[in-house]
Amino acid sequence: MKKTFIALVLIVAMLSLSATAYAENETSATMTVNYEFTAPEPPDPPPTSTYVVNIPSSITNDSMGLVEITASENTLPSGKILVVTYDPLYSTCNSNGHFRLYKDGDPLGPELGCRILVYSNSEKTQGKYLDVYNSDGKQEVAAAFPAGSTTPSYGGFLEFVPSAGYPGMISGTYIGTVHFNIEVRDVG
Amino acid sequence: MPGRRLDDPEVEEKISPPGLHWLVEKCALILFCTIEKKGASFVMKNNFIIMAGVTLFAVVVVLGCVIVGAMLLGKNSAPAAANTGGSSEAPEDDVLIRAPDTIAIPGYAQLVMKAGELLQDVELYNPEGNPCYFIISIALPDGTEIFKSSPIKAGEKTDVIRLLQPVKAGTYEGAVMRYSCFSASDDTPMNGANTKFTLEVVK
Repeated sequence: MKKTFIALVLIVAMLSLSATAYAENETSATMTVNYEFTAPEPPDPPPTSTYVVNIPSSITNDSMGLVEITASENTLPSGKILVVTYDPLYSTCNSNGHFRLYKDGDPLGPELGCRILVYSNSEKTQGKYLDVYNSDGKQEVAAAFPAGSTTPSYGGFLEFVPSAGYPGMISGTYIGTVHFNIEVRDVG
Repeated sequence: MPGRRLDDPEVEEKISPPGLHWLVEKCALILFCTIEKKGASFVMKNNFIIMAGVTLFAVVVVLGCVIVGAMLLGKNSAPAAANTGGSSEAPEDDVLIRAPDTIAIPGYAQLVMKAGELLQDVELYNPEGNPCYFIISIALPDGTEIFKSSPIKAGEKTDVIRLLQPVKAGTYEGAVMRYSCFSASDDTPMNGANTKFTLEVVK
């Protein structure tokens, strides 16, 4: 009788260990987490523009090099092309339309010449000056995007080349702003 | 593995905590074998004390493991709860703060306005992510400025604009929308653009 009692006590003890383990699992599995989630207001649909052209933000002699003009949206109908040109009227330039940089951006301060070259690839082959009028009397094209394309069929890579400076030139940061004309033209 | 003892730290590591249950079962087995031996009441009594102690120890260890595990679980789930604490903002580490080096200029092939009215339903906007604010002006092909906006920050838009003067009905090809861009951080002028479009003014 005593043996049986001891055996039963031990069996109950062993089973209780297992039961404890199962109970812990069971408790974890059914744990309820309440969280009040408030869905954000749906954003307004973006305005419908025909195209979005990305231009370099600023030009300084500290950040020269090759910059790109890209398009992130282009819904022009076929037969049209998006053309980007240099606008000397609103750019910092001299009377010839050649691009200039001014010390600390002050148009009355010391200036530094800086030509703009346009390329159709990053290898910089067959570059053309952008800040001049071409033989037709029109401004040279900086980039051209065919209908529906965000990749330029011409241009798209600009290089800003500052002049070497001159003796006595004041050191510092020279800043200029480029203004572009963006228009839709008929192909051909 | 010959020569490896039970008190070897590696062995102990392997049997704990799952080994506790196994240990109790083994002990119970030994006890069952022991109590079957006749005339061994003294041994059985000792075994009973040992087994009871082992069982009690095992229960304490298991309960301790359960409590520690529950505490660790609580610690792990705490940051997750904090992350979903009612805010839609991304965690600080995920935010990439970097000034973009381009300005996105939106353009339109055509805009429609109402003749003779100053208030016009025209949507102008500054794309999200631009490093600048826009001042947008609209001019007729002859250069007459008919609208100039207040500063429009990146991500903002206007639904209605107020013209400087009413416009007569007609089609104005080559109207200009000028984007003057200024740094959002120090108001210095940045590169900008003119976009040409066809302005349809209807009665």
